[in-house]
Amino acid sequence: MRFVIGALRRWFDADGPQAEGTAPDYRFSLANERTFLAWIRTALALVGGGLAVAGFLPPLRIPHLREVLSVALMLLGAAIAVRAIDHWARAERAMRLGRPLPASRFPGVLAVAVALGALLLLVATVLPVLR
Amino acid sequence: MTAETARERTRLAWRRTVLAGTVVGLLILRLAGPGAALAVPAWLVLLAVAHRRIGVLGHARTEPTGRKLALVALAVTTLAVFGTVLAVLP
Repeated sequence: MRFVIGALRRWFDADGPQAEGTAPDYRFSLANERTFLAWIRTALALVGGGLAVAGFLPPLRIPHLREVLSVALMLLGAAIAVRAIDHWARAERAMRLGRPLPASRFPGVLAVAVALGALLLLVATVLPVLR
Repeated sequence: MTAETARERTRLAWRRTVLAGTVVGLLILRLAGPGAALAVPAWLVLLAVAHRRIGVLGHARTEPTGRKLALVALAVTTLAVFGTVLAVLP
């Protein structure tokens, strides 16, 4: 619970009156905001994809695969949204304190997860047809 | 990039985000029917924050955005959780 409150406070106050350091160039803050929005749209695309799979895809040959795919897409979307605000806050703080922008492995991990998921799905749909 | 271009690009980014959120809202409406009313508050949060930011970015003003962006992230997380429940329910 304390972790959640701490995270909320970090996000809420990243550029508020109580934030440390000095406000960076306005254009840098806007660029950070646009990066946040791009991640939010990625999250929304995954949630939309998950909803489309749940609502419009006919049942697959493997039982419950459709539901698993749909839930995985939407949970990934939720994770991306949470990570988006956390990364925005950390980047804003770094800019205010004149430190290097925070490095992140998340885009790489996400790319590998999406590629592995696509491969698994390909195998799961092609194998039953070949048998 | 000039400050005016940066503001314009950010305004357009907010508009694209609202469009993406609206598509998700329509998908939820299609799947949940009247139950989609439960997801309306999350969509309204996205709409209200975007409206506010687009308005502020139209002038040479600045404001702290942490709270607003956190609310948007929480709204999208809510939509994702709501969609997950919809997908799991028989």
